[in-house]
Order: sequence, then C-alpha cells, then structure tokens
Amino acid sequence: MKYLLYVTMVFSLFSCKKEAVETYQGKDGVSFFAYTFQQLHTTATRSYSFAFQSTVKTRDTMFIPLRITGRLSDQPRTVLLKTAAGTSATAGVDFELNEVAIPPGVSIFNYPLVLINSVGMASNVYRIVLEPSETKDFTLGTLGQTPANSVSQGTEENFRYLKIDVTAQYIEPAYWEVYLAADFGAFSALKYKFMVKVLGITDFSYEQIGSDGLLNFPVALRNALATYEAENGPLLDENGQQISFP
Amino acid sequence: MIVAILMTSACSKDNNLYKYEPINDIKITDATTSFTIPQLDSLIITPTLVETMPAGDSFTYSWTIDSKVIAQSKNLRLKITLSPGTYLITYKVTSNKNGIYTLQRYTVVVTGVYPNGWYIVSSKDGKGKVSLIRTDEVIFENPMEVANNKTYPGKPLGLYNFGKGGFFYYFTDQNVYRFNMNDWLELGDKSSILPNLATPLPFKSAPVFILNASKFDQFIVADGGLYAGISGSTSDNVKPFSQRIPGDYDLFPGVFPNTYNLTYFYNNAKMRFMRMGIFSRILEDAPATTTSSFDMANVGRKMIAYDRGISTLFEEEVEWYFIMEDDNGRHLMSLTYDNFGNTQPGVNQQMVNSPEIGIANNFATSSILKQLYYTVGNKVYLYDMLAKSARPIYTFPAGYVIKDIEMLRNTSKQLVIGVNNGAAGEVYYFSINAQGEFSNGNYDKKFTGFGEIVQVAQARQNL
Repeated sequence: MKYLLYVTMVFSLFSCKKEAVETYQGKDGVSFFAYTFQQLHTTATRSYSFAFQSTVKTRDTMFIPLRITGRLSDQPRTVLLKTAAGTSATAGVDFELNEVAIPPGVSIFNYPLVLINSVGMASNVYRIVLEPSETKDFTLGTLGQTPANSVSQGTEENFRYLKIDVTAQYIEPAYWEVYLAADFGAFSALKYKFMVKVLGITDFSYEQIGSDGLLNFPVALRNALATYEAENGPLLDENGQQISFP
Repeated sequence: MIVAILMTSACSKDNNLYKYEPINDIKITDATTSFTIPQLDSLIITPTLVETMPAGDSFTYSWTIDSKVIAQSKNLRLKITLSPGTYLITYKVTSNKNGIYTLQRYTVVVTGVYPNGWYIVSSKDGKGKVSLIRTDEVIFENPMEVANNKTYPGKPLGLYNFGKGGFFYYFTDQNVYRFNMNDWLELGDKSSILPNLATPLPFKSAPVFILNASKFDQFIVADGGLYAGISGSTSDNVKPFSQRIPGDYDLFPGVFPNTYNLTYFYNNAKMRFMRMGIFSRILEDAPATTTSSFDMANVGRKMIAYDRGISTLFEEEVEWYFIMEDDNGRHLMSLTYDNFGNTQPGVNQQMVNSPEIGIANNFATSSILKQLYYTVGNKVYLYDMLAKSARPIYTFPAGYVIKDIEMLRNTSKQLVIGVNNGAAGEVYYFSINAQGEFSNGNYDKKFTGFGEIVQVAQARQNL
C-alpha cells in the first residue's frame, strides 16, 4: 500500500502540458459552388439565351454561386473570375468580368457575370469557361464534394471550372434534358416559343415551375395545341417535326 | 497530488446523532390524469390533495405546459386555445413551510372544435349550407360562415374530405373552396385550387373528388372532364389542379383508385373504363380483359352509381362496386385486385329479384358483407350479392324522398340517410346488425332542421 502511495505521489508531480492547436495558415480560397442535385458542377454547362427573356435586353446579369474556403472576414474582400481554355466568347464584347466586392461575413455569394447581347449572338452560341482568378484576398479554393448533413440541403460541390453557353438564339436550356424532357418532350425552338406564348413565362427551370408545373403545364400545353391544330393544322418545329407534348 | 492528500487523511467515526422530525407529506390522488378536449372548450382539473399533517401548512400551486406557467391556482380552469395535438401539463404543489413539492403530470389531447362526424350539405332558398353533426351529436349550423364571417353564395354541388386530414373541398355552382376541417377557416378558392382553366368555372353538375390509392395524386371529375393535381406530402403543401385532361371522353362522375399506381374512370360515352397512372397526366383507355368476368375495354353498359368494397390495410388496393345499365336491366359489377396488387374485374351479375332496381337512385355497399343498400323514393332495400335478390327493410313516411345514403366506411355498421320532406331535410342514423338489416328494424338517431339535403359526407374519410 505504501509503495503504491509513493508511486502515485511521484506520478502526480508530473502534469500534462497543453499542446497548441495548429490552425490553417494561408490565403483564403474561392471556388464555384453548387448542390449536387442541381447537376451544375464540373461537367455540366449552364446556358443563357437573350431569346428566352420576356423583354428585349441589351445586357443581362447571370448570377454564379461561389464559396469561400478559409476564414470569414469582417472586412469586404474582392473576387474576380477569369476565362479559361475553351472560351469562344470575347471579353468586353459578349461579356464582362469585373472585380466584385463581397460583403463581410459571407461564405457563399453570387458573382454577377454581365452578358451582352452582341451582334454575333444572333447567329452564334458562344462558350465562356470561367475559373476563379488570383486576387489580393483569394486564391483558388479547396475543391471536391462535401457530404450532406442535417443542416445542408444535400451533397455540395466545390469546383474550379464553370462552362456557360450564351446566345440570342433559341438554344436548349441546360435544365431541359434533366427535368423537362419526360413531360414536355424533345426541345425545339418553336416549341419553346409556343410554351412562352401559352404559359406567359420564360423560365421553365424546376426551381421556377415546381412539381405541379412539371405535371400541370403539359396538360395546358396539350389543350392549347389541340385548339391551335383545330384551326391551323399541325404545328411544325424548325426541323419540320410536328410539335407535341407527350 | 490530491489523491495523495486524500490517502493520508483518515475517516472519522459517524455518531449517527440525527434528529427525526416528520413533515407534512402531500399526495395527489387523482385517478384521471388524461383528458381529451375540443379546442376552445374549457379544461377543468380539480386535483385531490391528501396531506399527512394538514395543520399549519400552506401551498403555492403552478400549472405548466412546456415549462410555460398557465395558472397558479389550486384548480385549473383554462380555455383551450392550443392547436390540436397532445400536451403534457405539469402540476406542482409546493409547501410554503419547507419548500418540499409534489408533482403530477396530466396528458391533454386537444382535438379540433369539429373533430369528426358527418357533413350535411343542404340548400335553403337556392343557397348552400353545410352543417356538421359532430360525433357527440352536437349539430353545428353553417360553421364556415360563422368562422369566416362571410356568406358563401351559390347552389351547393358537393363536399369532399381531402382524405389526408387537414381540409375539405366544397363545390358550389359559382366557386370551389378549401376549408380547414378543424376550425373551418377558408384556405383558398378556385383561383388557387383550379387556376388557369381553359374554360372557367362554374361546373354545371355535381363534381366528385378523391385521392389516388397512394395518396400522392388528387382527382376531380366534373361535367365529364378530369382534373388532376399533386396532393403534396401533407395537406399543407397540396398543389393546384391541372386544366381538363385533354382527350375525347365523357366521364361518369366517379373516380376509382384501385391499385397503388392505377386509378380508373368510366367513359360513359364509349361505355368502357379508362385509367391514369400515378403522376401521369395522360388519360388512357384501360386495356382489354377478355378472359375475365367482363372486358374493361368493352363493357357496353352505362354507369349509374358506384361505392366502395373491401380494401387492403393501408388502402393501397381498393375494390369498387358499380351499378351498370343496359337494355336487359341493371347489373352489379366490380373492379377488384389480386394478391400482387394488380387490377382484376370482379363480380358481373344481373340484379334480378330486386324490386324497383331499375329506378333506384342511391346505393351504398358494405365493406364487410356481400351486401348493398339501394333506395327508391322513401324505401330502403337490402340486396344480397350471394343470393342475388333484394328485400325492402325500411320505409320512411309517405312524402319523404331519400336523397343520399352513406356507409360509415371504417366499420360498415352504420348507414346514414339524408331524407327530404319537401324542402325540409332530416338525417337518420341506422345501426346495421350481423345480417345487414337495421337493428330493431328502426333508426337509432334522427336529426332535423336542415335545408333541402344535397349530400351526406363523412367528415374524416373519403366515402
């Protein structure tokens, strides 16, 4: 017993030292951000057409979600995007990239990409490939997937390159194949014009029309098409195919 | 180090010199600790306190729900303004003398003001009125006008419970409304329920409504047209209906959710069944069933009426009975399901030995016996599907006309009949005995004072 007591006393004289926690030191990063379910990351292409807007526009702004990796700041910081290989649009003619100040304390924010309805857009589809540019505040952020948790809306993606197709023609929106194809059938420019005319909206993305729009709009379109066909005969698209909503 | 110090100190002997003083021990001895109460009623709890040493003690009382104090009196008397749900009330009695307290927990289930019963849709001087006969037989006259402090004009056409709780649809010849079934507050009208119609309301004939068997789709058939919508995961996120589903058809006013996936309709113009799959908005002809008891693609009879038969536990498969008519008379037919949840034509029998069946206009089937009830004028007949014959079982006084009959679906033991004596409506409850006849050959309950009855509908379940 006494022996045990002495041993315990000896050990008791040595205490633990607190170890300093290593923190990340370095420049904060920025990357593109999307939820996986949006199917916008890495391989996907976003699209914009001046033809799909409800009014004629000479310029428009496309908002691109970005995310900061690193520490939040209580000071405004600047972010800039630059073009990467594969870009066919011309900066200053078809689009503008400007240095943008992001508000303090924000980790996810929208970068305003200015698109210009240039002369060439009427007959071309231009591609813009973007990546974050080095600024005094940011370098390229951490990339990859963040698993879903109880707070987030699902698996999240940080990625380096974002492809955007921009035109003033009726091109197939990127969301068409993902969401609309099953209920609205194949895309055509004339079908899209018919949809805009019947339903009075120009954005048919799932976020805009919802689950009821996905199911109810084709019913309205089939009714309107039947009325049109009764008066004018079949409605053909630009490829000579008869338009239908399956 | 501390261990070392502790190890060096010894224990001292305990002399056990305690002074024992009895204290007043309080017990709450109520046998009833759970209460069910409708919203807006008063909850009264009068606890019985038993003290071992009553003299010289006084108490502080508190009643709490979710740690919020609702009263500080010995007895609780509280007007319930909580939403329907289950609540725990904690009652605390603290002695002012020594601070010792006793707790008692009570469970309170708050139900809607109008929790269950039968909706009675009637018409007075051309204007609709909906009354509720609550389960406890209290009658509420026109709660929707009282709750919303406005009138609902128009001829009443029909009323259907949503089927997932929450609300019901009320159709008039001028509009369609949603009302919260608990407080009858209006939740919306045609502008949100049936927006963007190609041909605007009103419906001319009485519409029908029901959810599909999986309860993800909702259907209205009105004036021969079908309207479909997403019913939402709960009644709070119900979505609007589509326009009329296009196609060359004229549907009988009935919707028959048969399997998890398929809902059937009957095209009276072509005398054949049609169907729609879950989340499809294509109304298609039902395929031929030439090797079955009848061919769904070529029935060749006009639908007169329908009601529900048996169903699986979670109502993912439902059997439906139909009264069909051709030149030979009226027939009883059914759509049922096999063990794999596939649609199957069921009975197909001519209704022989059935007095006045050719002019019968109200039908209700049992979900436990192979029987159905039909009415002609003031008479109720019971038809036995196995014996293939009917017999009269009840006659209302001369001059009465039966308007609607409904089976209490979850038991099939109560038949509710709405009768008109001129413009005055009456409602009767009949209990059904083991043979399917009315117990004691008479009604159980009678309710009067309604307008001319249009429809009787169960408050918490479709059909």
